[in-house]
Amino acid sequence: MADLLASVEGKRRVFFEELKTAEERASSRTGLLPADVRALHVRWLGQKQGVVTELLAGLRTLSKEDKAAAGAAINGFKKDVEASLSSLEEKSLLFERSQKQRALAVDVTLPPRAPRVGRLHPLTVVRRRIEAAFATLGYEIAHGPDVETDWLNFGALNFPPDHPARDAVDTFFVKGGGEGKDRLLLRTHTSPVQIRTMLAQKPPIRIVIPGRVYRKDDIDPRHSPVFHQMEGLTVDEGVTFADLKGTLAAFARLLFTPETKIRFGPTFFPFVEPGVDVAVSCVFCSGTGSAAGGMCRPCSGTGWIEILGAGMVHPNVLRNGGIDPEKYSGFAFGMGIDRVAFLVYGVPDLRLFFENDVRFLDRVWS
Amino acid sequence: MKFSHSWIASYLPGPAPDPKALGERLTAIGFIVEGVERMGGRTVYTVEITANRPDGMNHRGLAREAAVALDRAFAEPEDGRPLEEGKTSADARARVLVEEPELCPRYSARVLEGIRVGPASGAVRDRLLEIGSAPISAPVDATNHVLWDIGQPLHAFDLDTLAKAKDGLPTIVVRRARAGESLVTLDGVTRALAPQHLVIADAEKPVALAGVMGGLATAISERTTRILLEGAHFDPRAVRKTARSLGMHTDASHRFERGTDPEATCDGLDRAARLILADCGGVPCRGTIDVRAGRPAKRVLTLRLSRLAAFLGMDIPAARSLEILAALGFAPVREGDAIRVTVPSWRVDIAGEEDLIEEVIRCEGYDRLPETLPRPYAPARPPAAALVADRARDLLAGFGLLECQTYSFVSETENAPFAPAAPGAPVFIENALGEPFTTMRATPVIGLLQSARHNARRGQEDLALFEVGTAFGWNQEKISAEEKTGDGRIVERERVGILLTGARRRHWSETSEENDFFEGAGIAEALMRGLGLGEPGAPITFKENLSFSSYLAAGRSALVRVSGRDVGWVGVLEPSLAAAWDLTDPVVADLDLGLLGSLLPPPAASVEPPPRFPGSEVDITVTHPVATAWKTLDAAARADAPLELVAVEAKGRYRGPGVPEGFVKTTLTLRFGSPSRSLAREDVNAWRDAAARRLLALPGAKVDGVKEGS
Repeated sequence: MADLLASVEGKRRVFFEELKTAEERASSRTGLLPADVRALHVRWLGQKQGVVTELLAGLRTLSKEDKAAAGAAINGFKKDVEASLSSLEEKSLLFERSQKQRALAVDVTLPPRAPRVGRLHPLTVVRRRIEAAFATLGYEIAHGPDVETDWLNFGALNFPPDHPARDAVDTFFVKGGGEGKDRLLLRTHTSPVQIRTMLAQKPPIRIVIPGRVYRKDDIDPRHSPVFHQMEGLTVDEGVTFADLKGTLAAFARLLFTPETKIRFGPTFFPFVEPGVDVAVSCVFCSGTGSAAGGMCRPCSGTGWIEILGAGMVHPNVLRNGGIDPEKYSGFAFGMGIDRVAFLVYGVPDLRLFFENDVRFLDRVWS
Repeated sequence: MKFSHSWIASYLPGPAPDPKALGERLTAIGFIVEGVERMGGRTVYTVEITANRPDGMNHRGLAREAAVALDRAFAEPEDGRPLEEGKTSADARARVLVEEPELCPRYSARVLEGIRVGPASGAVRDRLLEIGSAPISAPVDATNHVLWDIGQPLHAFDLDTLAKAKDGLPTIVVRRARAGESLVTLDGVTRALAPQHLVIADAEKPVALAGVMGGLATAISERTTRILLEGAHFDPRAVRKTARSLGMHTDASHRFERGTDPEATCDGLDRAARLILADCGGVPCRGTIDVRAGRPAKRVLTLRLSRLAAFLGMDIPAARSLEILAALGFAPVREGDAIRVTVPSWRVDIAGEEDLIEEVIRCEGYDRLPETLPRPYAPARPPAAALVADRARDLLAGFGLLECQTYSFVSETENAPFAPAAPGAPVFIENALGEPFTTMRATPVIGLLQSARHNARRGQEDLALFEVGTAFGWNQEKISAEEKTGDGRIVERERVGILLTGARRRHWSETSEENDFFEGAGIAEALMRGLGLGEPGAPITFKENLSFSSYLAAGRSALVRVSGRDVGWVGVLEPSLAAAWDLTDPVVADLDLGLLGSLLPPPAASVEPPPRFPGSEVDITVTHPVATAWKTLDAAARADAPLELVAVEAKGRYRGPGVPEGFVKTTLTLRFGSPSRSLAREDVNAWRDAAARRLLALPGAKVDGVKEGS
């Protein structure tokens, strides 16, 4: 009896040593496979010649009293073996699964197979930003043709024929495009759409007009014979000059920052009276005019950047649009989309917008 | 235009204003100081003066504005001794005939005798040098001084060089030039003249271009002893026409074109005479010759104070308005709720009440204008078609293409091959910058080819580009109807151009595939489907193009159709054209966004949920001649098919070992499904067999697993 108990203790020690070795292997890089665990299982718990099985078989020779005590000891040992091997088996199964997956492993640091990333042109992004700002202020979008008549581009907008005001806008004419007020030309501003809209629609009118315009300028970093404008027109009863200022101030805050301010300066455009140049406080230096290391370059140290021309619609223009200037008043404004983009993105050369070098286009324009 | 601070200050009694403050105030009231030069205690401004303010293009005019801006007095400086005239009447020395009183409403002249021409005095020279005008001689400098002082352009003739009339009197004739006449102007250039040119002539020939430049032969020289000084008022359009047609621009023409003060001619003559006599001695003849068609009517305008407040959206006290208008020379008179003004003769820009409102607010200061918003407005939802262009941009950028912007005009040569793609005959620019900017583009694809070439030359050859842009052409109907007026003579179509070159994608894990017809057509189809076109409302088809085209490769290009209407084209660029562009097999496409917008089906009124019953699919493999198009296979599979046939798809194509030369093996997948039941295997098999028989009936076709004649 005592021999048997001593033998059980001895086997228990052996088992836990083997278990320890197996566990060490399980946590080493070699790892423990389910087959190794099965071998241990056979050796200790196997139906034939399993160590624990044989110990249990030895009980037959014992007395009834001894049988109970020894049986308890052996069964305790058996439970420990079963529990230990079961947990070991779990570990080995996990190891086996990870080993199988590792065989399929890829180098995740290699470049992935990404779809092409397309981009909108910066002029589109800026146009949409401006449109979105005016949409918030209740403006609709209107369009018109690039080829216009002299009347719609100039005459109706209060540019008399043979007037020096036309000198400021060198115009491309269409070959064989007729004479006088019907002469065809490439519009020099999107303002003809103001007339078209007034002729087609009774006030109230509230539109912005994005579009391509043309002026006979030589191509250089700051000039392009093709560029883009965004004009706006408001016509209603009781529209005031102060409304123009408030509208453009709201726009500037929407386009730039809530702190942006605007400044009006008198100027002359034939189709408005009074006409104003509108400057916004420089977004780069917050209107201080100075930057790290000296003068703020975008605003030349003035703290202001001119981006808009505006004014109250000239009574002659309202009349040409079929609107009674005594009953209605209105304001108009216009800006160069390219110029805004030029400022917003700090693009050094306008030509980059039309060259379409993919190294220029393929970047984040926001 | 340059202005001297001290010259301006000479019109402002009291201490000279601070140069910086003067510059800032001028800018604030609309005379934009673009540059300030300081040289040894002197200040010179460069001022931008708008075309409507010729009255500000001289020191006195600018000083009048400065006085208002600085809230100071304005006064003529003391002008020295009065002009002491001689006994001989000017009429006895010269005669002036104005044949064109419309074009020259006033011609004034003075005659000076006993002159010894020398340099101008230091004061005049200094002033002219300060503003960058080179001194020439005392008489010429005197006329320049007057131009810059009060804005009246003058001209000095050597009286003894003017041809005399039959009665022996030198005669000035203001007339149109005669065909064949010419004049050597002061700059030494011989000008051929025509009746559109207004000239100053003597009894025989033109001696000056009216309001532009004098003639060389009658100019002041060192030998000059008698001078005829001209101070005239010309019609702005007459001077503009003469100057522009001769390609000339002078200080005088700049002012006459914009409008001079008709009342300033005699004052200008007297000022110049005083300077000349001081420097050159001599005597002025008695009286001024002054030929004038009549006096222009006084321009009286009314400014309603209620209108002023309503227009501006702010109140300005009547007293302040009166003060501003008085300082600007408008002689305002309060009349009840209005102010009546007389427009000064020098203010050619003032025509109506709104102009007076501007005068008040610009002098009051735009910074005082409050910021308010107009009453709310309810904008309308834009129609779906209006959103197509921006939606197309988003889709194409989402497909990985880069958006471009290219000029609307291209070279005639670049445009020519694409002429059939234009919405009409090519539109040329009359006064273009030269090539490649002469021709309004037939398609935005041309600009994309320019961009592709630009990139390819820099080693960037894998390109996927697009541009939304206008294509131009003459409206053929209007041309044939000989309509020469109104708009609509040019057709403009908003198109999207697409260009693909090089590899579709490069990745280490695969062999890169070049862009081909199918990539271009696929992007076109995906774009249209993304916009909302395609089955079932607006089916998309590609119509093969096998004949020669000047811009598309025959056999590798197609017309794109939606609901049977041509909406554009896609294909490989015609190879010799591609070679001319230095590009290899670029794939190009052009879709008309206006048409696509008009073909958008109306939004669905209700949505059919997807069938709850699983569908079933079968494959059929057909070996057939290469010439048998997919659309023929597709049609055969669909012919007489049951309603349960949901789709026919191309699963695979194979040419190679096992397939005879000239044949290709195509595997079709037929998808069946029913919203109301699960499909029975026998039904699906029967449908498949029926489809297989129809395919087998095609010329030269064999179907895997189906015997001929079965």
